[in-house]
Amino acid sequence: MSKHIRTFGTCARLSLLAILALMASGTSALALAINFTYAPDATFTAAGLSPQDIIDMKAANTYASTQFTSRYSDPINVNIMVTAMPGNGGGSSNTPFDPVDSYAALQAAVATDASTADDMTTVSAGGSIPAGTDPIATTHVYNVARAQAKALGLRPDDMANDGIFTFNGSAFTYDPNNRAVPGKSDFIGLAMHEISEIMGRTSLMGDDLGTGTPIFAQFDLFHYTGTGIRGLNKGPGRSFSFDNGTTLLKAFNDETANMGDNQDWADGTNDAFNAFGTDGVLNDFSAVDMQVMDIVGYNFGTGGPATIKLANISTRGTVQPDPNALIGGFIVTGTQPKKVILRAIGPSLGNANPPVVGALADPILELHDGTGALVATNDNWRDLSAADQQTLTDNGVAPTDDLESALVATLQPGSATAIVRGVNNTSGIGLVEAYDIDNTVDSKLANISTRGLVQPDPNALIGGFIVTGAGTESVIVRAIGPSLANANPPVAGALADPTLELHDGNGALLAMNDNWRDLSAADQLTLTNNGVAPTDDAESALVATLPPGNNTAIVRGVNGTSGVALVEVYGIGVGAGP
Amino acid sequence: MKSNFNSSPNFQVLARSLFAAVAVFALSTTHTFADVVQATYTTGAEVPVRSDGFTATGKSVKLTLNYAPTKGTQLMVVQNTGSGLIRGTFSNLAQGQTVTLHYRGATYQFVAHYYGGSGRDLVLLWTNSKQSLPGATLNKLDNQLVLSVKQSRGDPPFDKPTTLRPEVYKYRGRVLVEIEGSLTREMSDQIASLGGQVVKGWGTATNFRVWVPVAQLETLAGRADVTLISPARPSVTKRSTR
Repeated sequence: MSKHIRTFGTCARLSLLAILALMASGTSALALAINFTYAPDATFTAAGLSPQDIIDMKAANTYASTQFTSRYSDPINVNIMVTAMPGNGGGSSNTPFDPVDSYAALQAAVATDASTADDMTTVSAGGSIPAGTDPIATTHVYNVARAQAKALGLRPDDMANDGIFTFNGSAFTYDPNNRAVPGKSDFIGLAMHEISEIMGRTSLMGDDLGTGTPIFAQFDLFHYTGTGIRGLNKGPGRSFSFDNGTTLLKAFNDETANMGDNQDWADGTNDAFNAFGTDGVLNDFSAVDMQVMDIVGYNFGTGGPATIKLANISTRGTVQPDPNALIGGFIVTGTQPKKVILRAIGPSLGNANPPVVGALADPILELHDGTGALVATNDNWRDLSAADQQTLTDNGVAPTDDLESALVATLQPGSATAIVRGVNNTSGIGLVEAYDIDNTVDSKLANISTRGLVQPDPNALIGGFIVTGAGTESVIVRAIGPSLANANPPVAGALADPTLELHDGNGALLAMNDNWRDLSAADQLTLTNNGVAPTDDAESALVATLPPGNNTAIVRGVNGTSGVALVEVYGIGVGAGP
Repeated sequence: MKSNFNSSPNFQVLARSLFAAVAVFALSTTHTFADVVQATYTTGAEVPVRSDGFTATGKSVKLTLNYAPTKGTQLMVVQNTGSGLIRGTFSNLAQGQTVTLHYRGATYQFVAHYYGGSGRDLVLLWTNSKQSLPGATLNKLDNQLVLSVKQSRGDPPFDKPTTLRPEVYKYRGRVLVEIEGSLTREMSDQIASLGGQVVKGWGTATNFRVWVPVAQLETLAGRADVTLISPARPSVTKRSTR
């Protein structure tokens, strides 16, 4: 164990570099600002808050606001008054609106503001706000939220009030690091909910707001019940869609059935944008929530900590008895704990297409922290708690074979290690995986390094990783072999001369490298500047800027040679925003 | 020229450390300003406050005119050298407010614009003109509606390009307003004849909403049975259950 931790010494250095890079790119480059004006303390005291609660509440609002300001770059101020009333949880938003002269004017503003592929789809012929005829035939007026009007360029930026966020009572947890507290409601989730409504994630569905004319909000145009069928009502069957109902991203709440808001999500996975929430759970700013805010008019920035990320990193290799277990090391950069899912996959590889011959029959998974201490272990994922099993299911990564292993863990920033062995020292091809399932923190799953035995095909060492979000992610991929012999203690049987290939999700070869000194001067400098230039000229590396999608790194030995090697993937920050 | 502004700089250093060996420092500057900012104009070239990131909230401003400004004069109140906007407004000077200043018996009117000058400065824009609204009408119209009327007429400061924008709910030439007064059949008929429309089902007999062409606001304000006209601001309240 200790040998492995030392092997990943360079990772720790990169962790520091990555944190510094994140700070350097910081929020100063992003211009979206959310400004809070608070009611007098006496108002909050009357609502049941203690002096410390008031301090914590304001800090929680700031934290909630950074979930937007760190991801979106519109150069505007969103100005929100915050107040409170006595009560038992929940809250409300009050959002003033601006009228838009016509559908054509609204469509033009949305089109002009379009910056991502989703935005482009939205305003295309097959989108939910296409050019041409107004999709609503009856008499009506279109409105946008005041803040949204600024984001869409329909009014100049200003410091005037864009809305009011009122919360009820004091039964909240305000701690960003402890948002799921029994008997308490997640204040940050509530704040993100109300802030997003003030920013334009709100509906009107023909309400006249005292104007005498039915009004539809821009957000109403994303309500669909099916392909080409708008759901311009508050009833059942509506989902969010930006491509004219072809893809129903997530179901809206049925206001006619439960009085919850019709523009919020229906019950399901805990989510900041749900119509209803319960105590004791964390309500995330989920990936679909971020997508929604982009589509309604907020532009992704270039430095959002979690806008673009490595969401999953995995490695396939040969599992043998110690010391040749499959070892996955990964690093969480940032300042906050990161919730991840780890998996050890074996027998189901035999069912892959094409099937993997010699798959590990029964893996067992261990998680070690940065000190090498054993944090958790699992043999069969069905032995996990019901909540952890549900988390696997909710994230779509429940193993298909009961003998496979998984862990749900919240990792502190720093390094951690996952070790896959075969039960009773059996051998076979296994897969070790880490999934980032938490979008609400500034931390990133920035690196995975897997050590395994490289053999001739089909037993090469294979590292897979997924880039999610909008924009591109710059990565460094390395194949380390001979320098392992210089580790302390040295690794016996190190691969003498690795080669490295990078493939996209379709299997197409993107790049390859045998010796990293053959890279361009710029790429070599990138390796050096990130502290990960290999120490042996025979080792391999690639620098790539990748769009969202699946990718694979394959390590082989030159001329079919065998040996122990490392395959490593480093996320070195956002390549470019959309 | 001597500034009337009395302040003392107060520098604040924010330090944030990262690990034991690494520290990243950010320096920000803030100034402490008097609660009442004195803005006295003797030539019109004065800059009473020059600041990198000014907060007007919690402060008031005392405006004094010691010369006779000419048509089109723009008076600087706060020259904001920072990249952000002025935070808040002076307690006695709202965005778009008409300000009346006097010098040797003459009256001069300006409009406060917190997004003037470079786009981030507080300036007073000349608005005195022969077409200015009579005092009785001014008193019945909210500042933003006064601006709307002037904008529709092309009166100063709208006689030349400006970023000043009335904060009203305006749709196709009509503004939505709330009127304090007695809604009679005769008034309703007049509103209709002016191209307006009373919003049915909203308000009371003495407080009601009307869509009215901007150009007709003055006519309505001139009625004896109208005491105040202010812009309506439609909004929606959404409640979340947690």
